[in-house]
Amino acid sequence: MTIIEIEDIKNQTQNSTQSYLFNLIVYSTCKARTAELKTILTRITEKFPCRIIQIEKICEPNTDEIKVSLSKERSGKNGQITSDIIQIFVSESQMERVPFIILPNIVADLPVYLIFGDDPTSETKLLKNMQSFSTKLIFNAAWSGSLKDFSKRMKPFLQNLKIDFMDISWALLNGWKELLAQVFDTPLKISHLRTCKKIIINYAYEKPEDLIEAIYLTAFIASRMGWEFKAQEIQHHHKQALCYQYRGHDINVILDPVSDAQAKAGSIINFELFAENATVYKLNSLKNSSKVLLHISSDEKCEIPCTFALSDINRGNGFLREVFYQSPGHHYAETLEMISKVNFRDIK
Amino acid sequence: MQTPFENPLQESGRTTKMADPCIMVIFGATGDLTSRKLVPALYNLVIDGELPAHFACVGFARREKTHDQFRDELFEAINNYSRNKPVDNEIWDTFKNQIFYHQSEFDDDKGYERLNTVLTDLDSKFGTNGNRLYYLSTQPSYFPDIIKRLNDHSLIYPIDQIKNKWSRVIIEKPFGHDLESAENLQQEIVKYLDESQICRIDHYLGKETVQNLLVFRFSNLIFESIWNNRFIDHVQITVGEEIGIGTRGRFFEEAGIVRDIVQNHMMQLLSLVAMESPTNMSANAIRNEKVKVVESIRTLPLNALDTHAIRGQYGKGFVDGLDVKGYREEDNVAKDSNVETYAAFKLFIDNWRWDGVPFYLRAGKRLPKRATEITITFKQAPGTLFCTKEKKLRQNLLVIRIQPDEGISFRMNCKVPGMTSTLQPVKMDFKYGSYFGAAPPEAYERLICDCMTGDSTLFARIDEVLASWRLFSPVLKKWETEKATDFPNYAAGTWGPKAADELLIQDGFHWRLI
Repeated sequence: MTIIEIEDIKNQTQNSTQSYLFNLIVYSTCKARTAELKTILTRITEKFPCRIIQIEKICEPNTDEIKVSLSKERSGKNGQITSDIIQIFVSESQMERVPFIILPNIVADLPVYLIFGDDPTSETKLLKNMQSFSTKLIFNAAWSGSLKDFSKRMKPFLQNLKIDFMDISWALLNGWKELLAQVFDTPLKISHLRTCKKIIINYAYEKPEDLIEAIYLTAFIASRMGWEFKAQEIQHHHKQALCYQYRGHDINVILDPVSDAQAKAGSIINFELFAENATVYKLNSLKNSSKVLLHISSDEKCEIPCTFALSDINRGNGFLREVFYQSPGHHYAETLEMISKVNFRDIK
Repeated sequence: MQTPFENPLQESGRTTKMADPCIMVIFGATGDLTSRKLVPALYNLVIDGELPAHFACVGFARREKTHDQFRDELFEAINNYSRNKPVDNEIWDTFKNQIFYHQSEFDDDKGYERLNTVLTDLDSKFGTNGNRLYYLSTQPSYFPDIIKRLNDHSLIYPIDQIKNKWSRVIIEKPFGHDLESAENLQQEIVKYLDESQICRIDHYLGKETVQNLLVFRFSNLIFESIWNNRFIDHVQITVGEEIGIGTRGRFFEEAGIVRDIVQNHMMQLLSLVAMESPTNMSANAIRNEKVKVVESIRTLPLNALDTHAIRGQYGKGFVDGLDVKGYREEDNVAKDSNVETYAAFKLFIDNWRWDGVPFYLRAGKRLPKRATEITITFKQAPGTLFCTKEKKLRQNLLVIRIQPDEGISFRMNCKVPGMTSTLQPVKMDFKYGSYFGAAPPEAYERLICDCMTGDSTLFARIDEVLASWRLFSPVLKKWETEKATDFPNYAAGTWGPKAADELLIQDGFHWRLI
C-alpha cells in the first residue's frame, strides 16, 4: 500500500482553489474496457472540471498491492478547465480497501457519479459499499454478458437500488428516440409505425455488443407501440430478424450490421420503415456528422428530403445532460421487459 | 395553450421539452432583429436538435425580394451572429428550404390573403398541423393593425373554438410608450387574442442567469430565510453599457433609457429578486407573484422627485481609452435633446418582506463597463466584537452577475492569519463559465422554443407591464415637461451624474464599484 502517494494527493489538493462540478468514480475490472472508459472521461474532462477517481484492477495473479497516482488534466480553451485524476490500481485481494481510499478523497458536498465498467447486476461487493456515498450509478448494458439475462436481472436490481442510475446505451439512443418522436408526430404517422410491415435498422458493426443500440431502439418502439414479440431468427453475418405482432398483424424488424469505419461502433446508421400504401420512411445518417436525412414517400406523394441534427450526446453538454442529469423513465423499464423476451445470442 | 396530440414516443418527466410542429411568421423580417437574433436563434435550435422536425419560417416584409435572396441574406446573418459558426452546409441546405419570403405591406389585405394560402400550402408540405407563431418584429405602431388583419383573414384561431391547433403572437418590446398607450394597445389586441396567445418578449427573461434567480432563491433554504428586511440592508440593480446609442439615435430620442431598459428589463429583475415563492412553477403562479411586487412599489413622489429619481445624459468622454462623443453629438439626436441616457431610482416595496428596504436601480449608456448585476447588501453584524466606532465591519454582499461573466459571489469577513485580529473581506465566487464550460443558449433560443411549447413563464403578462408603466409614466411625463437644465451631466466613461451618487449618500450608502 503506497501511503506516500495518498499523502501527496492531500498536499497537492489542499489549499488550492479549484472549481469542481462533481466527483466521478470510474471502476472496471476489465482491461479491455480501459480505452472506452478513457474516451468517456475525455468527453467529460474536456468540458467540465471534476475530480476523477479511477479504479483499475491489477490482473496479474498472486499480486497483493494497491498503487495510487495523482495527475492533473487541463483542457478547454487555454487549458482553463482543470480536473484532477486519482488512479488506484488494485489487486483483487485488496479490493475491499478501495472504498476506504476513495472516501477521504471525495470533494465534499458535490455529486458523486459512479461509472461502473462491469455488469452492476453481477457485482455485489464493491458496488454495495460505494452506493452509500454515490449519487448516481452509471453503467452500460453493452458491458454486460447476455442482454437477455441482464434485462431480467435488472428489474429486481433496480428495485433494490437506492440511488439514481443511467444506462449509457439508453442515453446514447436519445437522439434517435427524439427524432422518431418528431417524425412520427401525428396520429396518422403513429399508425403507420404501429402497423408497419417491415423496419430495417442498420447499425455500425465492429464487435458483437455493438448490437445493443439497435436492440434498444427496436424494443423501445415495440414497447411503445404495444407490439408482442413473436419470433426471432439469426441470419448470416450477425443479421437478425425479429417478428412482432400487433392485433394479428406481423411486423418484421431486421437488424442489419454494416461495416462503417467512420461511424461510432454501435450507432444507428439507417432506419427504414415500410408501411401501408407503399409509405416509406427513410432516415439515413449522414457520414461524419450527427445528422440524419429524412425522406418520406408514398403512393400519393414524395416529400422533399430534409436533414435533421441529432442532438450530440456523445460529448460535452449533451453527454452530461443525458447521462448525468436525466433518469431513465418508465420507457426504459418497458424496453427492458421487451428485451427480456428475446434471446440475443449474438451478444457475448 | 393546448397540445393537440400525446405522442407515445415522447416520455414525460424529461427535463427538456419538445416544441410543437409549427410555422413561424416573422413580421419585419428584413430588420436587424431578424438577422442578428431571430434567425441565428432558429439555426442554433436546429443544430441542438431543439427545433421541431416539422417546421417552416416565413419572413413577412415590405421590400421586394425572392426566397433565395432572403435566404442568402440570412445565411450571411447566421455566419455573422450565430454562436455556431461557420454555417454547417448540410444543415443549412435543409433549413434554407424551410425558409420563405412573403412580400407585402403590413396594411395590405391582399398580402394577408396570400399569406393564408402560403401557410396552408406549407402545412401540407411540412406537416406543421396548422400551428402558427407570429413574431411581430416591427415598429410597435403596426402591432394592432397586423393583429387585426391576421384575425380578419382567419390566421388567428379563436381559442374557445379551435382546439386542435394553436396560434400565438410574440410581441417585441416596447409594449406601449407609456401607460395610456400600453392600455390602448392592449385593448386593441385583446379583441382578437386571448392573453394565453400573447407572448410579450423581454429577452432578459430568456437569460440563463435570470432564470437561475428563481432556482437560487427557492431551492436554497439558507438564502430565502434571510431574504427580507430583517437581514437585508438594501438592494442595488445595475444595468450598465459602455456603448453609446450607436445607430439607434432615432429610436433612442423617442425612448430614452427608462423605456428602453428600466421599465421592462430592470423591473423584471427586481420582481424576480423580490417576489414571494410561487405556489408552483406554472407560468401563472410565477407571474402572479411577480406582479404583486410591481404593484407594491411605492409611487414615486412627483413633488420631491429628485430625492427618488435621477436622470442623466452623457457628454463627451473616454471609453476604453478612446475619445467618444456626447449624446447630443450622436447621429439623429437633437442638439438640445432632453432624452435621458442614464436613470437612477430609489424604490420601496410596501409589503411585509421589504418594508423599509431601499431598492436602488441604475441604468446607463456610456458607463465605464458593460455589466448587469444585482447586489444584495446585508445588514451589519450586531455587536461590537470586531469593530470600533472608527472602523465598521464590511457588510456581507451577495452579488448576482447577469452579464457578462455570469455567476454569483458572496463577500464575507475573515481573520487575517497572525497574532492580530485584523479582518479582511474575502469572496466566494461561482462562475458559470468555470463550471459549465459551454456557452448557454441565447435568450431568444429559449424564448422562441418556449413559445412553441406553449410555456409562457418567461413572457411578461399584461398586468406586470401595466403596473410598471403605472410607476414610471408620471415620472417620464414630468421629465418631458420639465427639461433638464444640466444636460449633459456626466462624462462618457464615468458611472453617471453626481446626483446619482448623492441619491445613495443621503441614505448612508454608496453605489458598489463594479
